[in-house]
Amino acid sequence: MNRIYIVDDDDAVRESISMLLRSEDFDVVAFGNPLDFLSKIVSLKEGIIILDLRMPEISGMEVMEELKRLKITMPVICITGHGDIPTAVNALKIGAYDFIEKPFDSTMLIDIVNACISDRLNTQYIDAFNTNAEEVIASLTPREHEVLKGMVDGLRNKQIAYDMNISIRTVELHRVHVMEKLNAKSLSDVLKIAIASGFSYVDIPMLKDK
Amino acid sequence: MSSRVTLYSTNDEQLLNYLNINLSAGVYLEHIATIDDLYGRIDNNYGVPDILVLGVKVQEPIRIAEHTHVISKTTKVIIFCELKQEATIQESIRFSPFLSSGVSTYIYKEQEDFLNFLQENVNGIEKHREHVSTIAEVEKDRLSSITNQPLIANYLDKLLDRVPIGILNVDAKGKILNLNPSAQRLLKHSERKLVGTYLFNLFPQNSLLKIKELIKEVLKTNNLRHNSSMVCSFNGPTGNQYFEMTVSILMYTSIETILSVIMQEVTLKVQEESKRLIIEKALHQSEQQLKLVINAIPELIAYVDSDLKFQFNNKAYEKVFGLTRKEIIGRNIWEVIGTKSYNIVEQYVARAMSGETVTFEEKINYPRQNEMFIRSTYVPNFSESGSVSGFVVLTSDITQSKRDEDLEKKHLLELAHTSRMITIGEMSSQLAHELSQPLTSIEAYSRACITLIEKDKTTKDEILHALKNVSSQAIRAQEIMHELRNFVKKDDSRKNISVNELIKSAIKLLRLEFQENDPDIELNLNNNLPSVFADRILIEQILINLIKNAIEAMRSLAVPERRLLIESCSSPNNEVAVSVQDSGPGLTQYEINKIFEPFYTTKPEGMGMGLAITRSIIHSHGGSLLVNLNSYGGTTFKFTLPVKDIDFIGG
Repeated sequence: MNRIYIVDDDDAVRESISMLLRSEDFDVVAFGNPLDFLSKIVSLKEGIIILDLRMPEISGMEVMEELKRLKITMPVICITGHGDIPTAVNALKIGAYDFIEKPFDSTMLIDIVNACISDRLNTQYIDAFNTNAEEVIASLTPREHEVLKGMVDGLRNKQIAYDMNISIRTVELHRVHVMEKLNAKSLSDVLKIAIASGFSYVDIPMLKDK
Repeated sequence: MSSRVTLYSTNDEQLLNYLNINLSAGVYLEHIATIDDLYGRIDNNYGVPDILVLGVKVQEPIRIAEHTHVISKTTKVIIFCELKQEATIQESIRFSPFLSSGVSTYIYKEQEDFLNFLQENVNGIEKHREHVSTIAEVEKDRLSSITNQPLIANYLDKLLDRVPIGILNVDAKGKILNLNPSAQRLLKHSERKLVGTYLFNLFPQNSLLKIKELIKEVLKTNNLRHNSSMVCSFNGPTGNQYFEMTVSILMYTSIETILSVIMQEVTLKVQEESKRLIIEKALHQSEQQLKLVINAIPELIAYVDSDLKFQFNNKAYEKVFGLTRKEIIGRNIWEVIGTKSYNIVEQYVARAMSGETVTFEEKINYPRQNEMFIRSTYVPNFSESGSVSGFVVLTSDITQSKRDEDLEKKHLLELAHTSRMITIGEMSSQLAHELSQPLTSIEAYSRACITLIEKDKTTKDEILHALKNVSSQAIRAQEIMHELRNFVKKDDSRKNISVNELIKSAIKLLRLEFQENDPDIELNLNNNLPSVFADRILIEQILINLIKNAIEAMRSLAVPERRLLIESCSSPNNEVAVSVQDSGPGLTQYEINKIFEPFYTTKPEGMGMGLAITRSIIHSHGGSLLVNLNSYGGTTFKFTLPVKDIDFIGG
């Protein structure tokens, strides 16, 4: 049975996800308090961590850093606020397996959890992903690079169109091409590939500082 | 029978002795010193002289002669006079209606001459007495039967002497023939000076001609009953005097006509009259000016009496109602302003009539006019007894200013709405986050339930628990939506609301925006506050603005130094005060002066409209907004709101 740890301060979200994943036959342990979770993590058995990044006492990002410090290598799936791309990018950079934006579809969460389990079984995929990333990114046109940059910055199509002085329709078109070339199914895929390629074009002050 | 010769005012002892010695025997000669003595004898019919000699010093010889002749027709009167007087005195004698031929003048030359003159008269009397002695006996009886007549005449005569009215007789040319003491007093001269002079010559030039005209006019009528009057001025010793002269014909003969002139002093009357005229003129002038001003004023001005009838109105009044003054004055209010309008103002009319000064604003529909907004003041007028005798109406057409005010209100509301929408834009991501929690859990619970039921490995209790949570999370989402809708809803109606409730709901709305290190809000609310009359959405918005400003201002401070205090308390003048206090870093004096100006901002991305709008909203509620530095080293924004609606001043 696969163990899953849920760390979320919101009772409703935590309890509902717990029930959801239990119904899918996962072995779920939930923590309402991230400090409580961190204090027990070393004695816990291997599993997947689902972590809300936005919590009052200690942020999800801090939890991840603490995990890193403790050399915990369990995969982390982050829950982020809607449109909070910079935080998501940061989480991926630190080593999160993936992120999911609230509100989310339970199917999507289950899919990510299942993908995570199968990825861990097939480490070759990860290596292939990492070597391919740079190559794929290099195949983008300058315009597509710019649109990708905007996407990584968390900008909306409208804002990208304004910055590039082109129509929204054109941005949408570029975006589709980028997704196709990167073979990405979601924004999180796009971000993962961009991060894997080395951030050379990611111009986020927050990331550069770190 | 002896003859009695009486000398009045001729106390010349030598002459008396001489006459006594040389006059024929039987002549009784006497001297009388006072006029009363003389009149006493004549009036009492005792010692009536046969010959009365009036000395040159006697002031009113003609009147004395007349007086004597009224009672004693047979007494011969000899008037001593100087040469220059003789002609005029003789003329007076001739025209006097009371004197017979028995009056003569004498110019004194020497004793002997006078003796002879007197002796002649004595002889004449004695001869006459012999002739009539037999007739006299018969006459005596007849005369005694009519003794009452001279008595009445005497009374009239005395009356004439004493009346304060001047009476003169003049001839057709205006020459004075005789006059009573009052006339002499009025004209400031003795009879001797006046008799024979022309009446009009006593008067200044302008009156002179008028008197001549008056005499001419009366003569022309030739009617004894006709009289004409006029007022003429006279140069008296104490300045101008005024006489009313009434002229009538006393009698006319074939030769001459005699006029009688009645003179009454009317100086006081004339002076008062002229004073009155001056005052009246001044009054008229100021009334004209006032009228001009009142008619020039575009406000409607009128006076309504206690019968609710118009007594006065200005031009503007006529113009508005399209009526002439005649069509307004004396009419009832409702006849002029229409019954529909009257129904609206009736309550204020009643209050004015009860002695209250009322001011009000109303939407009104005057006949033949479009609907208009008026502001009226009724000022009651109190009679001396203290009752209300009417009231002044002052009405102005405020349709335009009301329209402007409404526009401004609308504009303000739109501004506030816009500002609200901007805030909502800022808040939308926060709201999405807030909503995502219940939505995520609902979806997850539902999916879990479906899976469990499909797999048929659940219990009823487990499903029930999940569904209960689904329900409560749905309600949580609804509440968030409801708060949002309340926040966006445009509501221009003001209601009685609790300030404390507003503070709490503003904090609840703001909770979405709080960041990790924002301070907790300390509340110090007075729970016994009256409700205020305000637009809850606008005031809520103001609170949100002020709280946000305070939090943002304190971002530069270390976390433990951040304090935010909201207080509510009652304030004088029937107001409730709310203050939002932060702990720093405070404002400079320059910033305090500028802070309410539109487009002034200290925030990099700010518009600089927030506080300007806040102030406008507070003002539109009749309150005030102040900024101070506080003891924590920070800034306090304090606003007040009236407990009651302040729609009209003094209303």
